[in-house]
Amino acid sequence: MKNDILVTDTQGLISRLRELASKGGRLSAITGVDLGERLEVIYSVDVAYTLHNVRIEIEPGVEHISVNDIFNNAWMPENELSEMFNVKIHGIKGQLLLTDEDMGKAPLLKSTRIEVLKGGF
Amino acid sequence: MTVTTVPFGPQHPILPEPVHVKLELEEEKVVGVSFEVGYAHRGMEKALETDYMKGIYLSERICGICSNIHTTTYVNAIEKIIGIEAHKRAKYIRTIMAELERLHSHLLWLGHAGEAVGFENLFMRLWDVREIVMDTLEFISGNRVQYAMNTIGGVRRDITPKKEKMVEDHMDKLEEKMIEIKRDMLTDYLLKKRTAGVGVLKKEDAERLGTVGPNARASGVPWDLRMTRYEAYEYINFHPIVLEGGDNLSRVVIRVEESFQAIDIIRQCLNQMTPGRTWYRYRHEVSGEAVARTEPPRGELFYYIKGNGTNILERVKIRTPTFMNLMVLPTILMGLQFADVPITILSIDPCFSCTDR
Repeated sequence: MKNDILVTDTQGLISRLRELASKGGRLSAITGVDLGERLEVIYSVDVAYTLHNVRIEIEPGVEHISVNDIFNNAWMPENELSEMFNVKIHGIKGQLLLTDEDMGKAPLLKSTRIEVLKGGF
Repeated sequence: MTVTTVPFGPQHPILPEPVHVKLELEEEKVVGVSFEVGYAHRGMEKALETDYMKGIYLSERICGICSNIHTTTYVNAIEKIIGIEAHKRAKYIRTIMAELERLHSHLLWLGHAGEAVGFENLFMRLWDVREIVMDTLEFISGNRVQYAMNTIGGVRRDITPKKEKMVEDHMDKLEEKMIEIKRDMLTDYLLKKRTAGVGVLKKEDAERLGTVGPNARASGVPWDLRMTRYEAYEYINFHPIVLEGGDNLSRVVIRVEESFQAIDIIRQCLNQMTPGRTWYRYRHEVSGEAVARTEPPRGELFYYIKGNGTNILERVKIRTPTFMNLMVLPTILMGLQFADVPITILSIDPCFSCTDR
């Protein structure tokens, strides 16, 4: 995609996001994409109507950092990312949309078959 | 002082959709706010990992109010991936549909706001004139709610000269009635008393919390994604309407003004449209990824779509306007009197079908 910024570690992620925030950037969305063995997280930041996508791949089971201190509107997207992909995010409860009985089922992982979700589709 | 916890929702007479807001009160004053969503979660993102043509119909069913703009954003993302662009006439038709949708959404909300402050007459008059918009949508598409207008590469129905004339006449009629309603509404003592200076969202808070749409613009943030000139907005002369107040009244006034602006945009589209094709058949595998963003009635709508080289989509991410706007609730509710809570929650025009997906 246009304006993709690839980062390899959390340090790089934080510094790129801080840089975009200092230019008046606004967090537009946090997108998780299941790549199989790893999870890609895309932070889409709007700076003067141009969208910058900061991408990082994270390991399953490793606690990921929260960016809520850089963008104060990150806590809902981070909660959603956490519950939909079963990712631990520092300081984030990870409960937003799912019922208590569906918690932990990580519906957006490829390995989760929709039949296991309550009611199916 | 004793703190009392009062549950507000998920079912409440003022809420058209379910949300649970937990209020902590000291006597009548709000001193704590938290909220829960998810009551309308249907797993739409998972369901959209399907044939990309089926996705058009599915995305239209995410929301009952802004159904058309969901499909517009969805097809925009698919068109970006496969590298095609809609015909110019189709872009105008998509823009007309988007503005008609903005009109019916704003009029619906303004009616709700009237009801929330006890101005029942306003509610009835606004929902009466809203029928003009609903009739227009039905006449163009055959449907009042889910219009099934968009497809990859264009629109499924043209607006014929006869329909163009009808849209023009309806806009004239609507504008005439709206001028009267605006006069009665904005000079009304009750409405002012209940909304002016209540639920203030300061500009810096709106920016910090990533507020979008009319809620941000009512707080002085001049941010409107139509300025990215997608669809026919490229050819339309308009500027975002921005107010400074940030209170409930500003959020009412901005939706009134944006309704007039929508009428103007529709007229510009009708004047500029020239005959031409509206769509072409397209069937191909989807390989690659793209983001599309639009400005529905409630603010920025974000779609990320990734294809894997087949007709089945790998991932569809949808971030809806209310998902961002909800985060202002603690800020605007804190310190209010309990009686002002319903209209203040309603003032951000929340949509929970969109939020929960």
